[in-house]
Amino acid sequence: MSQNSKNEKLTEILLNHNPEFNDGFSERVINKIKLVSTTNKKIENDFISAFRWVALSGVAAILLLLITVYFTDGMFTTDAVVGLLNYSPDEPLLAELNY
Amino acid sequence: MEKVHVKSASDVDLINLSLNGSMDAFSTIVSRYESMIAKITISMIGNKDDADDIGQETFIRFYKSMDKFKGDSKLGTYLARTAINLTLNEIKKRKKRWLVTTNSYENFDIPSIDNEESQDITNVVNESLKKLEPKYRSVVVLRFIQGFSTKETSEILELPLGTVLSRLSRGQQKLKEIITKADMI
Repeated sequence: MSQNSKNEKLTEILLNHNPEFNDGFSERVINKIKLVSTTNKKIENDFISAFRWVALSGVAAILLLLITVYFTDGMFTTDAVVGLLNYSPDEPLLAELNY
Repeated sequence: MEKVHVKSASDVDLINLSLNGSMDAFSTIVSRYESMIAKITISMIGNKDDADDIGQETFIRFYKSMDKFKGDSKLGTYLARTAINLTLNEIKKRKKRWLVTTNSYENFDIPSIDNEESQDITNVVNESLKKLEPKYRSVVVLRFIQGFSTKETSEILELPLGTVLSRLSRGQQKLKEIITKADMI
């Protein structure tokens, strides 16, 4: 067989090469997409739900802290909240100098 | 109603419908390009089951990034590029893991076949293609089996036209030798 005929035959074989996926490929793709979407949505919901509980616990802790500060110091100032109300930075220095 | 409508819709319309949540529209895209992706992935990988997984991944990736598809290239070209990249990655991964042993293009024996049985022809073509190095295989699959033009092939593979032409010629020559040995031509 000549080279040209061989080339033509090869081209014909390749053009007629029509492998197909097994039946139901389209359904498999759609089902997988639905499954991935559902899983992602579930993870998202779980995350939001977990975050909500963490956030609520944080808010409750802050409120508890503020109430404690109010009942201890009787006021709501920045110094009271951060615990500096009765603290004098000069005291340790003066004590050191007196010594 | 929508089913009838989507069957005849253009690719752009189908994408817009899919972006609005129509799974029927996306299903039509899959059906429209299933055969093309099958030709590419099965010819590249040689194994129908693995090719099926890569085919599914091709469409899932497109579904996830559909909003970023600007239509600069044809949808077919875009999907073909995704499929070919996924198959080349899979081939690389297999090589790394030493999974390709007896089926590798270095040491594979092609069975002789009865020309009357088309299934055998398909198998022999698949096995012959597996003997080609991936860089030649991808060009031959896109140009000769899928029927993309040389220009489209160079766009899909992101290679210069000259490189595609030389690989095409070399790939064709090698494949001819392999198929001749299998008594198909």
